[in-house]
Amino acid sequence: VGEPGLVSTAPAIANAVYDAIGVRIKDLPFSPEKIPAALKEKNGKE
Amino acid sequence: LRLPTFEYLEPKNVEEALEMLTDHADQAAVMAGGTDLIVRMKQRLVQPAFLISLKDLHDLNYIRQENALILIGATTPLVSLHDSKLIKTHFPALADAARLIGAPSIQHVRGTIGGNLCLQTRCLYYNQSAFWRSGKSPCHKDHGEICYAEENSDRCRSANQSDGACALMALGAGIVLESTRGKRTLPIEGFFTGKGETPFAAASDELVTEIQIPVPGKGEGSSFQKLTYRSAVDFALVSATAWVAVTEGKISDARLAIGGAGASPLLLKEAADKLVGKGSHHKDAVEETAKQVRNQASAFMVDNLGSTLEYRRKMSGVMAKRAIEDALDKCLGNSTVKGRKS
Repeated sequence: VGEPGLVSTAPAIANAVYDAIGVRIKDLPFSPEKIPAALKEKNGKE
Repeated sequence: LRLPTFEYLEPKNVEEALEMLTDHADQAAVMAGGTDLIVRMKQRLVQPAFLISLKDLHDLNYIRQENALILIGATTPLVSLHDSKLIKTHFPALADAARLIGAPSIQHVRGTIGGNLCLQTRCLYYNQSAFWRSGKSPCHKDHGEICYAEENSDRCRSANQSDGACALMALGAGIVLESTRGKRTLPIEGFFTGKGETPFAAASDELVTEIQIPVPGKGEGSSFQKLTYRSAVDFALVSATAWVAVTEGKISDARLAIGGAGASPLLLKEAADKLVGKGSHHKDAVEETAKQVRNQASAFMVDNLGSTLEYRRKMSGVMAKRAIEDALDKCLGNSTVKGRKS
């Protein structure tokens, strides 16, 4: 037993989000509302 | 946080409660379950000299049918609503709403439908501790002259986040108010004033004693949808209730209500009228209605409930669409209460 670190969990999920929609979200939590907002920003830039 | 001091009154029956209310009117607060009132008292948002507890008013705990109306006593616990066969069969929206208020422990032990209906309007800049608010000048709701939710607003922009009220609005409920002066029934649209400072039309000596909902006919269905930040113990960022009646494959009547936008649950008549006359499988009509719901509800929303305003506005349409589709499903024979769609 012990207290294993959870440091890698959030970045792993962030990577999954990036893989899915191509946007890096850098603040937790990855709430549903951040996805359309991030996508909108991305599409607006291009 | 400690409670402020107050005198605790425990009426044994409705008459006694009404007399106490008449005696103390403006200085009294009525407590049904207290799940919201106690928090607001601790935050010093309300400091009543007298607290009238309805704990012993067992006469007001009932759900029964009388002719074409279903009658619900004001202190009926929320759990009775989602356990009641009468409610589940006739008003799935209300059963669902009751199931999504707070958490099971709140629904079982304390929360009542009357209390939920009378839930004060809320705002991120108002529902805070006395210490938090002490650093700012008071807002409209706090008897001040500023609004923190919307710049230069001359009135309070707090929102009604009651799930029960949203469901009852679409179901066309009647609210029975009693006082020592007599009894009157208000349609639910008339029960809310739409003003953030004073959201209810009830006088200070009046008590909500009963909720009446017309029994639906065949081919009527309803659905309640709620968007929250967390999955439990959270107020709705936006909620939607749809009630539809289908005759011969066509929508003959509809009512839509949106919660979390404005000081009263919004009854969107124009948007609902778009559904009338359309076939029950008419996908475009639902889309179009949802779009109009979004446009109309957006006008009432300000950035005061957490989440972002843009997201809440967008989701008002999505929630409306889900509610309409689910209500139509229920019309077409499937009348069981389903879990929330995720």
